[in-house]
Amino acid sequence: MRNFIAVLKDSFREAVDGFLIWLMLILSALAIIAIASFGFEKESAETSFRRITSEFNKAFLKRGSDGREIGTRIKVANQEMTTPIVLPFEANNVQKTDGSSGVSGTYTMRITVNKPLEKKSANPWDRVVSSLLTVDNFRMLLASWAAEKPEEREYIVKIPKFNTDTPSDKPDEKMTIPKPEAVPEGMTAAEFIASKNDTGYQSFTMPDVKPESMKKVDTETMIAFLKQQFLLHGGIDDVDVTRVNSVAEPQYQFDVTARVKGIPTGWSYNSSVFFGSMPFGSPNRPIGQVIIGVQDNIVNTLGASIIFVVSVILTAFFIPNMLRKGAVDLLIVKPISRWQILLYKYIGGCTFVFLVISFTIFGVWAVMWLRSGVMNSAFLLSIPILTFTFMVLYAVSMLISVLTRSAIAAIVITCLFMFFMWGVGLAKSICDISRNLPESPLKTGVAFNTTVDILNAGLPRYNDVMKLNSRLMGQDVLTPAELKRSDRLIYPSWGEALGISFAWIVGLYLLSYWRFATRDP
Amino acid sequence: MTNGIAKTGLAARPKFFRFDKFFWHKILWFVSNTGQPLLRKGVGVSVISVQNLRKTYGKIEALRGVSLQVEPKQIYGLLGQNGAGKSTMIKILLGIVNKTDGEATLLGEEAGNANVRKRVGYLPEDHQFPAYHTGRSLMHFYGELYGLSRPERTKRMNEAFDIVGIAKRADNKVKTYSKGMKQRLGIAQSFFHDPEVIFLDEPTDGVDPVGRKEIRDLLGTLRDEGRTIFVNSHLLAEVQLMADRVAVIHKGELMREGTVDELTRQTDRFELGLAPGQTFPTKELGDLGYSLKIADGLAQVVLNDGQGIDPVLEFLWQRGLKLRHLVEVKQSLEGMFVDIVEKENRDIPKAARKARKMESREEYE
Repeated sequence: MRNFIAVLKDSFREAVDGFLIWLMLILSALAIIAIASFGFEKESAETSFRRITSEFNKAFLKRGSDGREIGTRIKVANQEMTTPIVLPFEANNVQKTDGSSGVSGTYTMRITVNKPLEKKSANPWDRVVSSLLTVDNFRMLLASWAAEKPEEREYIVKIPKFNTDTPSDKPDEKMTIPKPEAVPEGMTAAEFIASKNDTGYQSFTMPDVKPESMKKVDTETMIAFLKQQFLLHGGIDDVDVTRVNSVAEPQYQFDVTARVKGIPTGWSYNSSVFFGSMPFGSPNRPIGQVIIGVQDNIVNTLGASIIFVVSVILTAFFIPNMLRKGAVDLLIVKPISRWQILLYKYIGGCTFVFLVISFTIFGVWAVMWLRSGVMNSAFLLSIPILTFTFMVLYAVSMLISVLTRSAIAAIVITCLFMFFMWGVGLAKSICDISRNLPESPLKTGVAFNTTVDILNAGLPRYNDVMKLNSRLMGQDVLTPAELKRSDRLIYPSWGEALGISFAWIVGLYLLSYWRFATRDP
Repeated sequence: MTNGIAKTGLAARPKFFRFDKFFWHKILWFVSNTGQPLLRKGVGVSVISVQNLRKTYGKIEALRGVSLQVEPKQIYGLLGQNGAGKSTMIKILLGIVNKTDGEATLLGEEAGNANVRKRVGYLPEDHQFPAYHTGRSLMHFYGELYGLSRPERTKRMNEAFDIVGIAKRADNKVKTYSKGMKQRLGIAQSFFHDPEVIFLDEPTDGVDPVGRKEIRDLLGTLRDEGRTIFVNSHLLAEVQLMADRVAVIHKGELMREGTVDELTRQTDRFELGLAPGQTFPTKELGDLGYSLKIADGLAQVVLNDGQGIDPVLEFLWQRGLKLRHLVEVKQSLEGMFVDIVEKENRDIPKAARKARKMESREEYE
């Protein structure tokens, strides 16, 4: 243990001796200050509740317990994409009744569910789907939501072509909307498409609720649904709902009393940068989206890439310096084994980067907490995750250092390896899209797909770990609906992503040790 | 070194039975393993034992079957030209490089054993201390690797800094040190952890004449404290002044080994001086078969095979010449070394010599 601490302290001393560490800390401090300039302004209760209720048409099957959304589902690149049923929910006359200040308190409002307006959408898919919907979309949605086994039907349709010259907000009158064909009983969608001898077909699934099922939807179901939606889209779990019976169907009205504690995850915010001088992102968004936007997209993606490159440069000198003629002899003759020298030096480099990452992540986390009032503890998990990712890179750097004794070679090859891993991850995504979406403009051949699959299976999972980290980061700040939606995406398992990366670390260390132990200095 | 050569104070006490927290454990262990601890510590056996040691780097033979023994409590000098294999031998003994063939033991254990390295100090040639350390932090680092506690490290390094004369610069970065200061720091780190054997590869390299004398005196003190010191050097005069025994290695082969006296003694050469005003009977002695060289009023008589000096002395006495000076001429270590190298080169056929020269050049490069 004493040897370990000694080598650790030596690595730290080496790191702080150069200017790069100070450059890195200054960059981190500047990043923290820049993030401290973010402003978060809470929207009014009315705006927030109106935004929350506008999301209520995005419902999940089996009373919200299923991760799949109700609507038109098509499979794209192994991921199920859902277009929710068009159904306007509106919150009106929002009032705070307990006279308290701040977000916490009791609110009353009336929610109106209207019949969708007859409007031709610019999106041909919307027009395909609209042609299959009933008049009372609310009852259809609730029947699907409450059913143990949802009534659905598969259709196929010749994919409508988008006219790129038409503005996206105006329907193209000349566009031909193809008629969807229901997949016959006893046949799968794939078989039905195959029978058409035309690759231009796409299958999709739609709720197919029978009229008797719609009639079974009672007031109790409606109230339960709304309570569920408040929880999913607003993060508000203490809600009383009463139906206003005087309104004629297919319009529905409900009086709602919501008791809010703290700041719910669905509450709307307006965000800005540079201390309010410039708006950041679209207004009226749940705070979780803004926080994840900063912590995941800016810090965890762009920031982490910069930290990795600088850390690789900074630590690449540790092992070649140790292996210099005249320096390595002084270490080898001490009562410490070579495997320990190499392992401790490796851990020393990783520990140093761990400290830098901790400083940056903790700083960003703290200023975001202070500025927004939302403490996203999961963001702190980026510290071990980013350090682990760096450990893979540093293991590559260690091997190159032992083989070549050149810090420059270690830097260049490690950075190339990092970009290669990232490139393979990107290529894997492109291949998946190409394989699953016939109309995708990205066309990849079988040989390319196979090569990418093999490389992706064998390489450390740089992209996968980052992807999993992103999901983890949203746990405390995103609304349950946003989390459910992200859970529907295909994620690699932690075991696979970390296991393969760890196997690489062990393998690279063993190779490095073998070379270090057998080569005469 | 600045305060004269006092005892280093590091090894004066008996090592094994030092009264520390493990004292009674060691007594029990000793009783149950009678005699073994002393044997293991190298008492009564050679500190260094090398038998037919060979090392090749690719096609180059750095060591060609070297055998030697180094007994405890002496300064042992290993002489040789650059690339002769001196450093390679030390590196094998310390486990820095792997031997190709042969036997090598250090303190009774297989060379390179991690346990034995705790009892050994080493100063490599062309050492490079990490530039980001100060002298003090470097010693703390090495001391921790030797398992010394912080108070122990601090006490010992302060003593060592005083002895080598860099106490005032101990808190400066190593990169600000002169070559001589780095060498002094290197020597300090080689003995501050109280080793039994110290290997020094070119210890006086880059040190001024006064510093060299201080180093020589220090090594003498360390030897007197019971340590064995193994010195590699091509500065023959230095070795001659400090070493008890010397080995000469040339192109990977051991050429000579013995005490300095044994190696420099010459049985065939005497220097004679007569009383003022008297002249040597050069011609007559020449007629008797002796060859004489006169220089600065002294005559150097070279004996040929089977000749003794007594007939010369008797002849001078018979001629009434009064002898005032008679010395058996000793060769310097340098002279002995040059003779060996020249003889070796003469004995090797021209073609083989050329081939060896090429090898030697590659080795040096």
